[in-house]
Amino acid sequence: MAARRPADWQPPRGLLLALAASLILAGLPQLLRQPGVLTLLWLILLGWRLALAWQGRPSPSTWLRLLLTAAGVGLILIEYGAFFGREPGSALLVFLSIMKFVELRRPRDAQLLIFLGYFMLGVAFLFSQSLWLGAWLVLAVWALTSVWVALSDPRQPLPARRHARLAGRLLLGAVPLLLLLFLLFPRIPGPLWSLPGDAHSGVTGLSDAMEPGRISELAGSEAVAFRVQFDGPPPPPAQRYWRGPVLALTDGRRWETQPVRAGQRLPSNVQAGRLLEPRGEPVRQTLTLEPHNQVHLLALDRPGSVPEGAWLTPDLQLISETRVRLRQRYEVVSYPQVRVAASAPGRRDITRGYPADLDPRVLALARGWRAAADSPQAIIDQALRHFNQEHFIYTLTPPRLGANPVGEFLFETRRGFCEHYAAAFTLLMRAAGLPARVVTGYLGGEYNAAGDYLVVRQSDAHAWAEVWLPEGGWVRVDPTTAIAPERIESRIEVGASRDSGAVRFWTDGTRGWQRTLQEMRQSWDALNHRWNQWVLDYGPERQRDFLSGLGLPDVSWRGLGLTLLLLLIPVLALLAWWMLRPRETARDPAVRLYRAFCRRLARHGIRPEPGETPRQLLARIRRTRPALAPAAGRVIQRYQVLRYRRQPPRDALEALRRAVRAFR
Amino acid sequence: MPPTQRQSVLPTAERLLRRQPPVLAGSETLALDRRNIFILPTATGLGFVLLLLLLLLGAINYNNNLVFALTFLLAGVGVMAMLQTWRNLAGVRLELATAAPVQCGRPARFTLTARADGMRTGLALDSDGTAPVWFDIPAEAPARVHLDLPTRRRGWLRPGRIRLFTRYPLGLFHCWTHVSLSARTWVWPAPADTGGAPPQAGRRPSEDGTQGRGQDDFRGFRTYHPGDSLRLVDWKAYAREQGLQIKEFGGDRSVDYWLDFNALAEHDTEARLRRLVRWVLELDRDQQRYGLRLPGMEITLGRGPDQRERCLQALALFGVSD
Repeated sequence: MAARRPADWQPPRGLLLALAASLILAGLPQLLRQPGVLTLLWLILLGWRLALAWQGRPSPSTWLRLLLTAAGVGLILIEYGAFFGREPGSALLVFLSIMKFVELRRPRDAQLLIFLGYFMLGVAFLFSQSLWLGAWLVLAVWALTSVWVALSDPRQPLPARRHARLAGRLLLGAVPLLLLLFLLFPRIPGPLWSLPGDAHSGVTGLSDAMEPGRISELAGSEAVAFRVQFDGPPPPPAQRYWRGPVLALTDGRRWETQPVRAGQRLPSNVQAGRLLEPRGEPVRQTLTLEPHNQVHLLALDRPGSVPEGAWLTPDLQLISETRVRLRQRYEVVSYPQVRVAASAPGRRDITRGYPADLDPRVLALARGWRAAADSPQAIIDQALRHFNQEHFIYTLTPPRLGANPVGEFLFETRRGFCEHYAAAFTLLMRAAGLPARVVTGYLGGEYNAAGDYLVVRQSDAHAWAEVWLPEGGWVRVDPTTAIAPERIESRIEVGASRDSGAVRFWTDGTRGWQRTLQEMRQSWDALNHRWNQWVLDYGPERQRDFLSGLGLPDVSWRGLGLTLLLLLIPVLALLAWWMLRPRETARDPAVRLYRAFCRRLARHGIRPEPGETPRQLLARIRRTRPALAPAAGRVIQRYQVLRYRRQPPRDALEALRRAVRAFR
Repeated sequence: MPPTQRQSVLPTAERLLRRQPPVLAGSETLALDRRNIFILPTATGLGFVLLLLLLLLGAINYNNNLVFALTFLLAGVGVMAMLQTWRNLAGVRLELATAAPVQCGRPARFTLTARADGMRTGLALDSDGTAPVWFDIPAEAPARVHLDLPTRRRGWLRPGRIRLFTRYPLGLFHCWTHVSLSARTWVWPAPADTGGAPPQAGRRPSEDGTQGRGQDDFRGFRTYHPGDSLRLVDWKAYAREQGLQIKEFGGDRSVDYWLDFNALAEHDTEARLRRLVRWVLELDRDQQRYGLRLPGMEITLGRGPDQRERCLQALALFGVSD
């Protein structure tokens, strides 16, 4: 390579093609994600450079490239409106790599492109870490490394099968190191510096506030909210209420969580136990929560224990110490049939209050029920009957509501989804003098038989109410069930309901293909779950678990480094042995035997010359070392029989082996 | 196992300086192993480390396990590349073949035979200031490598320390070994551009001023005297009835060339040598007999390849100590 003057370097066409292909492969996620016009332009630039090479023309001049670069960067600025942040940064990286490809006039440029390709892979994982992307990583790294090997082959810089094979061997050998480093490299929680603003954008989940009537369409998403594994059997569908934010503060339109003073935290199981009167079987569960960039954690209603790094509000809402920006795994014990014995003083008043400007019709309706009822339970029943007998409709595309949403909903539109019903019901209860609050969370969950866990999706989001009864404590009331009782035991099929506006309920597919499809989907989800558990969620905590499983509890940062080093040495030694061991490369057993013979000959100081035929070698042995000639002659004669006779006798190979063994 | 210190892959600069390269003499074989192979990262290798650090920072900052995996995978590939680069040289055996004498200004070609227990790719040989010669060793056969060394002056040419290196497969590491070839060859001076005719002064006439008699060169006819050999009779002339004619041949008085260093007009020794070389080459081409006189040395008359080589060697090594 030193022999070539850099300016004269014309990249071979095959190399250009391979580079372009691996570059596209490495940039694929970005090319698919970014606006189509950018992708189209990038591909045109790539093709243009290839066309130039095919016509034997050099790369475009510097000023033209500068102009194109400026144009491309401008286009990115127009499309994204900024340079900083994940999205435009990634787009810029891919674009500049393509411009480097357009330039490509030195071997070093090609080398740099390979490095840029690896970097693109890393950047792609900031957007998604799905199983697909993991498989794609392996493929892309292999492609890039193959081109790299070819690039370093000074005689044949064209990618060939042997380059790919060698790259594969390098990657295979790298796997033990990958595993070791992955498991033992000290993991530091939290970012080293502040991340760009859009680092956590695009994550979905329940919010800490709710405002029925503001949105006219429920953005249902099939994205997974969390997965739950149970120690025992999963609870029956009717009990699958997953408790999230508890909303007690309202101005009649917007519902918010009530702030908790530091002294009101219930940080331990003991205090949670004092608040709760456990009844029935506790349900021990392990939740794997997808990041939602909020502080609330979810648990089966009602949580009775507190995972590490979290605390419990007096409303029995699990709160994480930090925002959930990584997939989080925690254990909770829940008591579905618990009686909530008490509420923190001062907090129950909030749950009685209703805004002063509450629609008089609402107030009148509630007071009428209260006057007629002889017990709080009767008021609740009356309200549910009202929802059931009046013409209330459950829809995912309700009309927008104005300044007085509850009144409008109850007396005019009568169309809404769970949030509308929960909010209206809670206000009705408060107007009737009963403490009540809204609880948001999820309802349902699909049992995945392949992985023995429940999947709860964003489309399972739900809102219900809790009412305080003097004898029963906080009691869950789900007004939505008064309208559509099937809602409890079925899931809404969001995709279908979007178009028609009516809700179609998902019942287990009875037709064969539907069932197969569902099973396939479940297996895929189970695979994803395992991927999440074993690959993506391996963080400081799981590392600690893993090490204590190895009998190394509470390893310090330094101890971890030391362990890693101590384990690295034998692994490296093994790898070195594997790489450096003498290898027999010939496939043909006859050639292998002949080579063994040559090695034995070498002990006598005789080495075959380059180009020396076995017969010439034998002649030389006869001349120089006649004592060896008879035994060597037998070997060579049999070898030649195997090589040159059209149909060598069946035992020829065995005869050769014996002859070689006999040669000393 | 030898002491671990010697197994260290990256030798210290001190060890590098202290160590004499192994000498590869005449028919000797040099096997490369950990004692004479060195390895260090290249600039590309350092760039790769930078890439890894960037990825690692990203992985830590974003807590991204797949970026961690990518980083560690690439780090593993780097380690494997180091082993593979090392492996590329380890177990290679070099054997030196001879080099033919050569004219100054033309490259001297030293031929080495490289063997290995398997395939080797992307090896290179070079010497100070020469372009590397890239070669592969195929799995089945040894490879012949021709190392062309430039010749700048006459006399002995010793290749001295040559370098066998490789950067395959990724160019991250430079792995090399130094070999001192004990072989040498001699380089004769480049012939002078103009020589003029070889010195006729070197022609040696016989004592009687004639060419004398002999059997080599045809001189003419004379009439038959009894006692003449019948084999010398020109029977064709007899057939034409011209009588018995005897063919006469000239003897060993043909032109001989004595190339004499002291007889030359130039004062510069090198210029004289170059002129002499030119004459030797021309006379050899014309298959003439010639001898060479140098101060303190004489090469008797002769012709043919041996004579040429004797003369050229004398001219090459004139005034040169071993």
